[in-house]
Formats: sequence, C-alpha cells, structure tokens
Amino acid sequence: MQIHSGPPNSYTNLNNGHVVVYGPEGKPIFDIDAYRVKGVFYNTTPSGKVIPSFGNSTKFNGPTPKSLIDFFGL
Amino acid sequence: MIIYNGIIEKSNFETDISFVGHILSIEEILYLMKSLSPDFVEVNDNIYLLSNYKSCGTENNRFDNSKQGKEKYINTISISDVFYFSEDQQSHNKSVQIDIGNFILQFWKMRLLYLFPDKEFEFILSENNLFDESGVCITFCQIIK
Repeated sequence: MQIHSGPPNSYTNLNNGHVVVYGPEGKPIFDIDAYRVKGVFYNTTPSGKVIPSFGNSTKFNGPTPKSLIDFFGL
Repeated sequence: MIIYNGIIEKSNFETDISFVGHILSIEEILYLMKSLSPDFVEVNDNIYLLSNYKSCGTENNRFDNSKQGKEKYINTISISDVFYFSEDQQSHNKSVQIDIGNFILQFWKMRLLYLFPDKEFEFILSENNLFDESGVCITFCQIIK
C-alpha cells in the first residue's frame, strides 16, 4: 500500500474539514482541522516498511490557533 | 447444538486462518494483533491506554475533568485518522470504519474485563467526532457505581 503524497512544500484542503501540509519530499507532515493540529511522523517497521503515524502522541497542545483556522478557511 | 458466533459475521476459522497464513506477513499479523490488545495503565484508579496516557502527559484536559471525562478524553482514538492517508479507498467508507471501531472495542472489552474483573466499563463509538478528534472515534471509561 502506497503512502498518500502531494506536491512538495504545499498544502491542500481536502474539503472534508482537514488541511494536509506536505513537506519537502511531498509526504504529509501536518494534518490540521478546526479543533486540533497533528504532526505526522514516520516509523519504519523491522522489515523496512514506512508507516505514517499521527495518533494522539503527535497532537499539539491546545486547540487549533485562530490564525490557522482563518488562513486555511477551516 | 448451540452455535456461538464470532465477533465478526461470516467467519469460518479454517478459511480465515488460511488467508492469514497465505496472504499476510508475520509482521502484518503481529501489528494487527498488537493493536487489538494494547497496553493499559491504571493511574489514580483510572484506566487508560498506555500510549495515549504517555502522549497526554497529564490526566487533565480542556474538555471534561470529571473521572469519566479524563478517561474518555485520554482513551479517544480516531478510527478515521488511522485510515486518513490510506490509498485503499474502501477504508474511507464510514460504515467500514464503524465496523472496525466496534471490532476493536470488543477486543478491548474482553481484555479490560479480564484485567479488571471488579470494574465496569462503558465502551463508546462516536460516528461524528469526539472531543478534538474527528470522524469515527472510539473510547472507553469506567461506569461510576
């Protein structure tokens, strides 16, 4: 299974309440909605599979800043 | 004869275990099984998913700091987020996510009842957001007697 990707150093509004920010390699590095911001981290399994992780451990403290909500139109 | 069905409909152990043996790698099998039986932690008589508790770093949150509120918040997992970046379009189907959420809760329920036979738990599946998590979410908390 392939990992979702997008244009490097860009973002896209998925029109489902989420904005995904892509890093220099085109991989998602942030997932933003109106309630919280999560970073996306990548773990490598023992067999070498790269797995994106953005569970609770990647959630920033506090709600999504209003400036981001306004900027992204969330 | 009385048949006691498995948690998931249309199960046939021989077929199912053959699929597991022939299609999935050992690594995939182990990751799936680990997700069904996560580590739990007891803190101040509250029960949490260990990974979530470590992430939060505190029992308090900005939504509900009652005993049940603390457990509900810390134990919340967004099933939708799990499949958020999946290229498998079937995984984006809400009804599929609801089924998977319910299956996971069933396994957690068995484990928690085994670990804490004197406690009673409430298992919750929200189809639309829970606290600051979006989409299909699951959580659990103790029932206050």
